[in-house]
Amino acid sequence: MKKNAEDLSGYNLRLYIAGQTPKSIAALSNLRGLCEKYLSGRYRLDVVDVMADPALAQRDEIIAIPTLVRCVPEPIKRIIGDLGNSDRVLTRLGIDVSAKV
Amino acid sequence: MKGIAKKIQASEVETLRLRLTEAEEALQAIAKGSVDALVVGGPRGPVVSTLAGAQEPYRLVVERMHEGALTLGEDRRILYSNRHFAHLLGYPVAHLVGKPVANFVAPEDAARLADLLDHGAKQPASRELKFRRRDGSATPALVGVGSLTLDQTPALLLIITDLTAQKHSEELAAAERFARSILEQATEAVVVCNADGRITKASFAAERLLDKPLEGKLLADAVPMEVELPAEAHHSGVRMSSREVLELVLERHSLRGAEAQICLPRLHEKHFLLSAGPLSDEPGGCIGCIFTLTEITDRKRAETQQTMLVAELNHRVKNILAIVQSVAWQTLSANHSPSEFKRAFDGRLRALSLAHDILTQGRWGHVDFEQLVERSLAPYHGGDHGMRAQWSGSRLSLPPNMVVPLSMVLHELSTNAAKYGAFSVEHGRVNIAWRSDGVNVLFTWTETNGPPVKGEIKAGFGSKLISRVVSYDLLGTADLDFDREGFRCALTFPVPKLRTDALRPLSAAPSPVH
Repeated sequence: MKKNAEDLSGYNLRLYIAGQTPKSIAALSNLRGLCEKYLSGRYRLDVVDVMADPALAQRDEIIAIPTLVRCVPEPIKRIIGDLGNSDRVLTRLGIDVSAKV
Repeated sequence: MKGIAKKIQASEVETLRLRLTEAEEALQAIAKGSVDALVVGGPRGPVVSTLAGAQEPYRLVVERMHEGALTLGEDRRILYSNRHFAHLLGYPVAHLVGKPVANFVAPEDAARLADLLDHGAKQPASRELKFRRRDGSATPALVGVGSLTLDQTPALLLIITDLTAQKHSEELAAAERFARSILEQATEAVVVCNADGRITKASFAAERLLDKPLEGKLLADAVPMEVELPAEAHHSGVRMSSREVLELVLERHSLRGAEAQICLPRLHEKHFLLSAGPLSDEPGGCIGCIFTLTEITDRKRAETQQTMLVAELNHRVKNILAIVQSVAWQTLSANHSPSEFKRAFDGRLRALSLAHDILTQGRWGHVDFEQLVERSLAPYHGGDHGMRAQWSGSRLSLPPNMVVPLSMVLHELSTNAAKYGAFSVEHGRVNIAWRSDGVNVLFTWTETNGPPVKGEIKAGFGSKLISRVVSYDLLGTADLDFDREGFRCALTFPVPKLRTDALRPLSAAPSPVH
């Protein structure tokens, strides 16, 4: 089974949330589930709470919360929303579902 | 060059296309309600604007309530945690969301949690569980579980009430009950004081001893003591008051086995052993003292009596040795052949031994004179010897110091009768009588039917010993009459004084025969 180029490297993800808003919580919960299922042991997740410091949102030009930023592998990609649509999220992140054992 | 420019241009176009796509997705997400906050520019930089809905007030209530609140998905991962629960475990909220709730329960409670969640999915249920905090410690909590539906998906709602304070209170109450029961059941007087010297707790035994309630009173007033510090203490031999002992113990010195007396009229004859030690709180500060008083009055009395007995025994041993030495010397001076000396000395030692047997049997108390007479004459009277002596007299109770001298006198009289007088022939008889005129005891020894006395009779050593003993030890007189009809002896000595010191049966010892 051939993996695409993106799958061969680790993932560096950054999730922007706004405190305990429902969508933020849902996004974090959905993302953890996907990461543990498809990227176990080869991802790093940073959770950035813009409520604590809104200026942090400027780094990745965030306009809506929640937003997931795929920093590595490049190119940088942003996915906005609660990440409830797993297929769409996996596609946008470039994760080959068939690679999962 | 043109090729490179085209590539850069293509890359920029791609980036712009990507950004456009993201912008379109952002708009769609906002339109669909997939986002609930926007980052907008403000005069002082970016500002987060939340898109609060109708649920916002409820969310705020859950966020600010003093119980932990969790929602779990069907896979029992945490979908939502309020800040209180995260704070309870010592994690940021983001660390909890998406993880199995079982990760945060003490391992020994994992099965109980699973069981609780199974029940809670069917009908509301609650149970006490221990959660594992970030620092590794366990937090007891009451967990209530109920089911709910989130976006048409079944979920569980958990309300977690921290029981740490309640458990701590229960432990404190249990410790208090335990301490109280110890105080109630202690047979010793236990008194607990605070640093001001005021009694905060006292055992039943302590209140019974002092015959009043003690709690709330100053130790120095309620239990005034005079304490002698034990030999091993820093200030050994020093006598201290209750207040001084308190100050000593508050400086973190402990006392073990200090003898104490309570300076109250009702208790001044009682003796106690005092143990005292500092009472420390958790940080190690001295917050008071614990005093334990054990009554040792009986032990002290026994120790005093034992000391007295040892001294008395020592005195008596010396006394008896002096008597034996005196008897030996006098016997030796009156008997020139070794066989005569042996016979005479053995007889006198037996008389001495008999006197001590009688004294020991009577625990060195008073001895009945008639008993002494009977036992002294036993070798010559009764049994195979027949009834060769008779005696009568008023009841005469002899103090211990008169027993040895009278025993010696009776021995000399009996020996003399056996050698030369009434006991030397079959029909010889001895009549013994005594009476008291209130001042003196009049004792007579009269021999009849003895062998005829021939020629001049010379007083022998036995006669001298009798006279000497009666004179020196009984403070009386002896009149010996060697009549041809039979030997007669009349003794007069003061009536023994009735002893009143019943507590000191061994204090009066026989004086040596000189």
